[in-house]
Amino acid sequence: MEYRVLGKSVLKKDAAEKATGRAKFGGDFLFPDLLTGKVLRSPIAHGRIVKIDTRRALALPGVKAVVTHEDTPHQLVGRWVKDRTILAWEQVRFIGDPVAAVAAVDEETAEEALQLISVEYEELPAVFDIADAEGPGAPLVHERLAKYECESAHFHPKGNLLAETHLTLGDVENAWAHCDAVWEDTYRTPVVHQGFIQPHEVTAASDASGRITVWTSSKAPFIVRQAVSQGLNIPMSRLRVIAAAVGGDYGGKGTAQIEPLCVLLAMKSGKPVRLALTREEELSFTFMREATITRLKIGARQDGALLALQGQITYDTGAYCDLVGHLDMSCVLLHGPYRIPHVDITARRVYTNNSPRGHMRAPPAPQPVFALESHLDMVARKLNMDPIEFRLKNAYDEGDRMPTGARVANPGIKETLKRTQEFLREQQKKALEPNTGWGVAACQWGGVPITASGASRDRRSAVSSAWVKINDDGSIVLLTGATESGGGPLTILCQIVAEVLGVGYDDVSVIASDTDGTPYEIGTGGSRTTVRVGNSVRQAAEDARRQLFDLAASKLKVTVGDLVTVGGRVYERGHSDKGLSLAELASLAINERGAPILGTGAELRRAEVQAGKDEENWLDAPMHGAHAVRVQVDPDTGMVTVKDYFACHDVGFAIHPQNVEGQIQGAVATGLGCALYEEVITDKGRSLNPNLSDYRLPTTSDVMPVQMEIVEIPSRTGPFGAKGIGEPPIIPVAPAIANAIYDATGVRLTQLPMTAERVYMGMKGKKG
Amino acid sequence: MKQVIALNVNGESREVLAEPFAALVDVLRDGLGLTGAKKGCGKGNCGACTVLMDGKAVNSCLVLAVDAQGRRITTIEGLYLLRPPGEHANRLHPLQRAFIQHGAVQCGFCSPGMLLAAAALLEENPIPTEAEARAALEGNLCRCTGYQKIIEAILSVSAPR
Repeated sequence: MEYRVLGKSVLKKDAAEKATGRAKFGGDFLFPDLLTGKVLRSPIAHGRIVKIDTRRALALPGVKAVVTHEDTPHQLVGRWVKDRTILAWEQVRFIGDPVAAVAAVDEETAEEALQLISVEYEELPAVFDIADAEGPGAPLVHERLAKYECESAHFHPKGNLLAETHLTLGDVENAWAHCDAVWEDTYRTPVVHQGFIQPHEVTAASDASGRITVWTSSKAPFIVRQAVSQGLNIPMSRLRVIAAAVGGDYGGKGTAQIEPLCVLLAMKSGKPVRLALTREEELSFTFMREATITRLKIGARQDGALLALQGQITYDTGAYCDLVGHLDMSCVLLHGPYRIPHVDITARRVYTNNSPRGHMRAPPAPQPVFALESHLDMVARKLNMDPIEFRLKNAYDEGDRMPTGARVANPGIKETLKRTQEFLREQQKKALEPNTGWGVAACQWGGVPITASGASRDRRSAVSSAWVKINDDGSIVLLTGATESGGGPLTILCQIVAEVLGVGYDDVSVIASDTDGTPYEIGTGGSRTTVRVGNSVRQAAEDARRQLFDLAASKLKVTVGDLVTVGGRVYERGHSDKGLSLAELASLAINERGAPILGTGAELRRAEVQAGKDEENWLDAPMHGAHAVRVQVDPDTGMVTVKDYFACHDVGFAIHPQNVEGQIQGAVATGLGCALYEEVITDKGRSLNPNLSDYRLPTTSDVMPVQMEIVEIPSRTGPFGAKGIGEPPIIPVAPAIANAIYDATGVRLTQLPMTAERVYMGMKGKKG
Repeated sequence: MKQVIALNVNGESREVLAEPFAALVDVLRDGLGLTGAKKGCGKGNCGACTVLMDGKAVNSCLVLAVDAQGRRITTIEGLYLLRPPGEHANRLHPLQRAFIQHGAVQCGFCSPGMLLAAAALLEENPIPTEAEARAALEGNLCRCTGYQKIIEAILSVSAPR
């Protein structure tokens, strides 16, 4: 199908504002009396608060507010599990737990005030390792865990264990005897920061009536509004939250982290307050990606058919957890897009006194998939099979049943693997340089649960909605709660509106992410913005079109079914000379109908829930991709250099191809950093490298060009067949590189990051 | 104690009250309202606060505002002023246009610093190789793009016409 606006890389709606420095981010809102906020954090990993004395801080000239738990309701907060405090009132559970906050006329005064607050602690034994946390007599991070409110069905409080879930199929124990190759190993991944260049920054200001506006770096203003309202017992009606331009999210800005504190300081001081985290705070105290340990055992027959998979993945969720709801996904991810008759997978989350953990791009996939795709490489080698042939033999076809019971609809795994195979065949005709090797890995992400008849299996009420307004002159305004954090969703949503209404892309403008000014939206993420928000925007545009057609039909005395909208005009098909312009119809709506045109749309959330026992369930369009990478390993130092990178993804339909490329290139770059050197190194809960020279992000010199191939196998549920692309491309990077290192050196690295030192020690160990 | 600091920013003389230890980035942002200079680390590691000082790219978080007196400072808000002759009908520098067209702007937080670092590069080396462009931008971090479209945008401007 040929579209006018879709499928074209139109100029992004937000690019000019950002390229000229006009775009306002959370810390860019200035007021003459703006105060600076700062947070006092616990210096110990576990302890009771005996006494807090803020008198000296309050007496310091220039200090306008000091807040402690006495200024907050004593209730626990959190998005999935209510396990944390806005300001600690009894107990601190990690180095960095917020204890007090100040607002002062400038940063220096605020810093000085923090020094003047004295807090007396009674230190408690702490635990930093997941194995210790489950050992006998381990200190309890949350003594009253069993009484916590938790949304997740996997809530399984026991000691420091927060949640646990299982995925089983067939009979794993008896299957091993039928396998010709069995491989078993343990994989480890470290804590990683999302790496956004804009640290968390929030500005809050109240108006004369005491109503507070919050400009936040969060991508989820409606979630923030709810969290601030609940956490501080402020009626929602007194809060307006605007997600300003978001300077990178990658999962790290989806919940309220510092917003409640900023609002509290603004209320207490009566002045506007800006609270921004330093890079040191970012790399020490925020909700970063969890460290994991995965034990995995996989068996296959000589012909390459996978027979059995047994795995256990444990996430160190730190002192507080922001994503319990994802454990079922962990199981599906550790299983991968393959047919395996016997499966026994356990996923668990365990509390420690490390800093808290949350989402990072494709949560919680990169950790289990590092294990799975590394492991498959070893099994293929044991069977003496080509790694892609091995995966192709087992990969999902249309209608295959996942271990959850759902059938797969519109999968792209085989096609992306085949394209990768073709790429590799071409490449492998070239002579291989010394010390180089190729590696491949695949991935699966998400999907939309539906029934065989095509109806979605929604579990929750509408959490995505859109409004489309038609102005007097026929121009269009889209109002959406979605946030622009760099993936280009606002551009894509405007393309959808322009396509449906038959107007030019430039005729559509967008107002976004404002809890007062735009309709409800749960947040931009999960590779579902194009699909889920896109559907609600499409519905809203179609609703507006229906209204235009009704007006036109009565005016032109034709039937609605014969009308089309093209080039800003509505006319009877074949009679373009006798139509009405959108401007004329908009005026008719205002002056004759008495109701301006406002199209509305609401898409129900399609949660990636386990399909359960229902035999009729399908999972539409799980997102698939495959990567190939060539590395060179320096035999003297172990240094790994990526020489060639190929990424192939099925996006269903690329509404904006340039955005798709940007998502892939950026995700591969981040994946490269996580594969080779990114790690928050801690000692007893304290971050040892909390700055960007010791926690290195990939630079222009580290990242190689990515060769890309886009596959378009349409989805049934996405707008115009689109699937998501934000998350998947980060997932296969680390295992692809690990497999390439193995190919080059014969060293199997089972721990990330794969630093030069680890590669070197591996090579040394192999020789010795 | 705060003192009057006289700065030449984007071709205009501006006076602002600031502490002698204040970093240029803070004075530009909070003192002069030029919030296009972004603060990503405060330690010269990320490049988001890059501005031009006498045409050279500097991390404005590592420069004291008092030391910037008497220098020509260009921020992202004034980049268009450096557009080549013949482009004067345009309110965008060719680099800005190229970034927009090539999809080099994603979240946009690194974009001002990137653009100014690229402008400094092209001033010194109008036709850089890809390797030279990558080397010149090594101090400017971006997490969204993987740098590829940024490099393509810069090379498209520098290509001989």
